[in-house]
Amino acid sequence: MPYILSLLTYIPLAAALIVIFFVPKDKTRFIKYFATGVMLLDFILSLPLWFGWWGASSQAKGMWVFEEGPFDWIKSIGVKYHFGVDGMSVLLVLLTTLLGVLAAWSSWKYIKEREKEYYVWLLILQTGMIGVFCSLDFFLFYVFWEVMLVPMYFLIGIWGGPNKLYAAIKFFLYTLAGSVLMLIGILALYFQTGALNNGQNTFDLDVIYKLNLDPSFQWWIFAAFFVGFAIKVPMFPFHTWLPDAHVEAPTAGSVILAGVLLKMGTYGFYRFSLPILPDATIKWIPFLMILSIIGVIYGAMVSLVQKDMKKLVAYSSVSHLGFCMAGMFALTEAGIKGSILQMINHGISTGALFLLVGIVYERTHTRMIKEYGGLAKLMPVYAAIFMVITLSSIGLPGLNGFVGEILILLGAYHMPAFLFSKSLIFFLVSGMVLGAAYMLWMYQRVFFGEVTNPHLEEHVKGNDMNWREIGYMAPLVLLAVWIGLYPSPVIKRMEPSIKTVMEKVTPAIDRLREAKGIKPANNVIEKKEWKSETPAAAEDQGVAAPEAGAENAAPAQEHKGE
Amino acid sequence: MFSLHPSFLHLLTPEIALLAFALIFLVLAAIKGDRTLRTGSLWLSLLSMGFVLFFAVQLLFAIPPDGQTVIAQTVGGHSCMVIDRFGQIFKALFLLGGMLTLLLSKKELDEENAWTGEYFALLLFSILGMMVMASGTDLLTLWVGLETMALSVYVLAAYLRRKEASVEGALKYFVLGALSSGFYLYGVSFIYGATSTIHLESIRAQLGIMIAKGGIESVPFHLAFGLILLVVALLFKIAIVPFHFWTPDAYEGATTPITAFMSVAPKAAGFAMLSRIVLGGLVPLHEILVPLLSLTALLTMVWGNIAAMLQGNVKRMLAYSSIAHAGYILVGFIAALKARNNEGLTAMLFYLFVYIFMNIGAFGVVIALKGNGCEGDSMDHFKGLFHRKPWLAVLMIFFLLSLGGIPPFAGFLGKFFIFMAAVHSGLWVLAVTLAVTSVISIYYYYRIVCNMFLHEAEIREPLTGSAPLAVALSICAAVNLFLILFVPKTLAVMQMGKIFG
Repeated sequence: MPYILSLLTYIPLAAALIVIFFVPKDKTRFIKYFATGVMLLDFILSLPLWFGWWGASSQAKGMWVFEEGPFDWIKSIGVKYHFGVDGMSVLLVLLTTLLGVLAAWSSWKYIKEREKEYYVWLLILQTGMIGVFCSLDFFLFYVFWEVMLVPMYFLIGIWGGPNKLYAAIKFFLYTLAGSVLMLIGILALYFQTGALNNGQNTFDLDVIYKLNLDPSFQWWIFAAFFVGFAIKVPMFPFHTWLPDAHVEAPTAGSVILAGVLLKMGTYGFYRFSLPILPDATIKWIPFLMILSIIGVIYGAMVSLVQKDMKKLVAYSSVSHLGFCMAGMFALTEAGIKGSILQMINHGISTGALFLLVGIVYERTHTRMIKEYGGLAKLMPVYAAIFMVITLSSIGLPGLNGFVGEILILLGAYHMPAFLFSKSLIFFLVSGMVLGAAYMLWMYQRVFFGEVTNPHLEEHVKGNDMNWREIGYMAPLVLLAVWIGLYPSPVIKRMEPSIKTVMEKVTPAIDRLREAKGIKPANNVIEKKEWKSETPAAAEDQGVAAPEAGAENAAPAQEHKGE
Repeated sequence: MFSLHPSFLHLLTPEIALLAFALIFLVLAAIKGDRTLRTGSLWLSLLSMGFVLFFAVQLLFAIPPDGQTVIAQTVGGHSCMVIDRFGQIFKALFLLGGMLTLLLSKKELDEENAWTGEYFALLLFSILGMMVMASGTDLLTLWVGLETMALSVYVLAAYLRRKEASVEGALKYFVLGALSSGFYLYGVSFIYGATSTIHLESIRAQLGIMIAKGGIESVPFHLAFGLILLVVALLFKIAIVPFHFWTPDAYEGATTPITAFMSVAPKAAGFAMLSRIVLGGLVPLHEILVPLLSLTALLTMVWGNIAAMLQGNVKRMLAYSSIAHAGYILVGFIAALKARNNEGLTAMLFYLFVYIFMNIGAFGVVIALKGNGCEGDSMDHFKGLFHRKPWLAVLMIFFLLSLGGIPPFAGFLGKFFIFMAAVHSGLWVLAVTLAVTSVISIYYYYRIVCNMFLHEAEIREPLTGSAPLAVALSICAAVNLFLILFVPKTLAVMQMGKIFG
């Protein structure tokens, strides 16, 4: 289907305009169904991105697929309309369209006032998010990146909790501050492109990828990008907007915030920082790794002491995203794979956790852990689903979190020692242990034991999850299990993209190695990959890439070791 | 002494027509009295401005981008007025600002019951003055334009003469404005003493020779002193920190359409004159001027935005925000001065174009809120606006987001081009300051958004509508929203030849 990406991007916007102009405010039922229906349509339309994959030969070469353009948009300054995805961004687009459906669906009962505005903002937000992941022109990317802030501001500011105004403006200002500094970086790159492009500067990513930049110049650009992306991720010192925004946001807002918006930071690092600024990336690694480690440990420790379930989940995001960053900047194929997979996983499991917290909050209007206890007796279905998601979040083998985390650890293990100390693994593993501790402890306090709070019984008894709630939880649970058991279709899709990025990064690593006078011998094992999680995965690998079959054995054993 | 080429007379059609219309309005007001004309004079003046705009735009497209026609000369063949693309664009901008102001005026004049014919005549005269400011090329011609503009605006600022705030603000404006005019003339006298000319081109040539011979130190003190006075006087006019003190009071006191007008057209005219003088005459001094102007631009962006955060009155807040915006525009100007190319100038023109629509739009919403004894300019008056009048609130969001520079609104493009020019000419500190201060600005713009959407209404009386106002707001909103689709065309119009030294 031609222009499928544009279609995906603008359908929600068109729907939002239809609602604004043609649907009266009091037709709330229709608005709900319509918005959810549009999200569903968007999701269905995005499925060809997944299935159309196998035939896409350009993907195999590590190029953009479903590419649109580049068409001239603002010719005099070299802005182009250029859309396209690769194996990495297609996953994020799919995640976005899926979470869009769930977010709209889960809001039917939760949002009781100003429904029209709510769904309009949700739809506009969807346009912004898909646009960010599809844009291959820096100007376009920036436009979508900022467009997305406004709807999110309103989602938090109007339908949020008691402290919503503070949280909304904090979210907005933090992100904006980062992005304007990023804009300086973008412009600095822009003015380098003239030589490659017949004297005409351009924002087109394809041209910018070809730039050969001076390392010290790269360092400054990286700094500018770092601020923009690290705030979004959020990395440790920039994370303070996140707990506020998450706690105050309505459930759907939290789901999208955690599921998609945070990924934009990591996406930015992956799409822009690594391939365009490889030398600077390597120089920044110690700093980035230390911040990631602090993020992992600090996020987990703070989660441990939270009294509010939602806040706990919010801080756990800091910890999980620390993992993603550590994996990505391990600069090995396995690490990056794990990092991307963990982005998806985090979208699934944290999104699901926010939905689950929302489900119980709708009934009891409290999120305080101490108000609960013995919930398993009152809501058995809910308890079961919560268990699955909890386990997925802490990385139980067989569920999605495990695959991502193990790949990240593997990547960190293979990371050249002159880039960063191997002790990284120790910290990451302790982060995993702490992760299990805070999640399970919360689970225990909320679900087990006797029902101590009489109100709880009153609100919740005989009021287990209804079909709608089960309906929107089911896809996430299924995905968690599927990725846990058989992740190779997901990973296969991102492989060519990662290869392209590695082609840019490896020479920079080699340059540094030469500069330090280290022999490249210790780097051979980098070829070894995560491979067989399960027999099924091994089989699949065998079919798809027979030459890789020989390498399957060793990593499989390592997994058992964890 | 002074000669006007008759063959080029048609190039002056806009100015001549405007002068004629202004005189007609004065006479009409005297003959028919103020009461009888009322809205009639509004439509007439709108029509006449439209007519002039038509001529100005026609001229704009008739002259080639890099063409420059000298239409008036003084003794010795020195030009004192030129017609070129740069000036013509400015003229179109003034007229656009003027027309939007007229559309805003009906409701305000009804509310205040203050219809007079002079209101319209003064508006036309002030625009005439600005047009001269945009095309003059010697110091005295520019000064005549400046004074024509300033004297008309002083009176307009004091238009509500029974209101204390209006008179106070206008008086402050007048005293400081007169002082800066004095600075200007004092500076000109020094320059004339040192160079025996008032023609910018000759000044540039002489400065160029001096600096080529003995470097920047060889500029004699009294000349440098005169030049600094000149620049300071201009910075007064465009309200650059630390010469901005008149702005908040004058803006708050003046009747709101005039505030909107003052924040847009005279400011644009100030930039036109600054460009004519600095780029046309003082370019050889760029080594001193760039750091000097950079410092003021930096202070302006920082202080304008910080002070705006502290305001409880929306008009005052917008006054400080317009100071900050003058700082952004000045960055574009400095980029042009430093790199000595047109990129910064185009960015500046583009920003001024966009700024007209976003700022007049924002003031228009303030006017829309006025009525039933409520001035409409307090933060509290915006509370719950979304529930009272959803569309008005939505339009206000467009204007505020545009002012804050959030894509896809036009204000983003304006900032973007200035940003680009600054980065391109290596003004890193200014670029970063611009970036950071526009984040700060979001904070106070969002106070209004927050009041409109997230609070319950305190005032529940229905708002009195006004058709011209609605038209003006729709135009402003449409430009803010859709300009991003027409950027290539807009930029193509603003491409100029290398007109400055």
